[in-house]
Amino acid sequence: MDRTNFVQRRGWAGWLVKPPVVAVLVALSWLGEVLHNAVELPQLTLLSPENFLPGLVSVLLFLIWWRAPAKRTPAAVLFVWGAIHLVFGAILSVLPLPILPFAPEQTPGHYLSHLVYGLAQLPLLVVMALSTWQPQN
Amino acid sequence: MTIKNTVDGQTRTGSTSALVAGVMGGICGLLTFLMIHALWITPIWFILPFGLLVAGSGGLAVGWAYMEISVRLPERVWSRALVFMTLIWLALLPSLALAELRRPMFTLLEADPVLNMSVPEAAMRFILELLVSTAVAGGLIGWWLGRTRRAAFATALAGFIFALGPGHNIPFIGGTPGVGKELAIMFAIISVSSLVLVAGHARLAA
Repeated sequence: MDRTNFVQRRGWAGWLVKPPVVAVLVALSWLGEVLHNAVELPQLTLLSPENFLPGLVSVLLFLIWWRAPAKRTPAAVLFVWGAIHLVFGAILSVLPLPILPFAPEQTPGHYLSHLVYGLAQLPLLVVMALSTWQPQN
Repeated sequence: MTIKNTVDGQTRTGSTSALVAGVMGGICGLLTFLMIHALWITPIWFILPFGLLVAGSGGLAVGWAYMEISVRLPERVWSRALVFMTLIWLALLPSLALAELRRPMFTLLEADPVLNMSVPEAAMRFILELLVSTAVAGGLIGWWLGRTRRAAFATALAGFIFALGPGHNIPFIGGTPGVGKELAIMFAIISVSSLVLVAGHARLAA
């Protein structure tokens, strides 16, 4: 059976998982959150914990991925990080769930900022998913 | 119309069409939800662009799960769609049962609903009794049908996303008079999205 995946069959594997490209994807993932915060929580600065700490985690996870000799586990961790942003940051926190410690504004603008936040996670998720599940030689 | 059940056809030639059909099913499910919500509750069309992200990515996951277990489904489109719908209900069954058997999270008063428990307890119920239970049930179904870790993971992911999307109100509405309406809406979403997925896949893979 053909064990190559989508990335490998098109010869993109090397290009997509080069450190500068992954750095851009990780930065994009973080910027999605920063943009959301800039629109919805304008009182925050880049050094506010809500922006700074996720950025710090992103940088650390990227560095671990970059320096690790085997990429599969760090890629899976980066995938989980993007998934946490997508599920909890972009999706759950805009739904009118009564368990949230705040009442998310149910307006088109707020949903749009969460849409951008969610879309910003997709490139990292796709590349890390393919990188995690590609067959190891 | 029938779909050939071959391992090779299921895992390779039908893969892209199953993913595309999954996205189509997710989007049609979202439109069904928005239409019913507008007619029966209140219009919330403004969530459409955001909903497309959730329904599209959710549809992708459900399409992948469908692809992984496709070889074990009936060949006739209508039977296949019916079985797939049943599997989705089976994955949601533990969370629905837990929501009904446990005490309601809220007391509905004339003003705002009052939470009957602490916020952390409610959050844990949301995570464990909805997201985790549906993912585990989905994973078991995938393992039972696909007999591979990949099939189990794909169906667990699909269950998780289905719980997060159309099912996110299950623990909150459980035990309240709103259950009937919730189940009716979910029935419409699951039926439409499953039918579009299966029929769409049959057309695309033909």
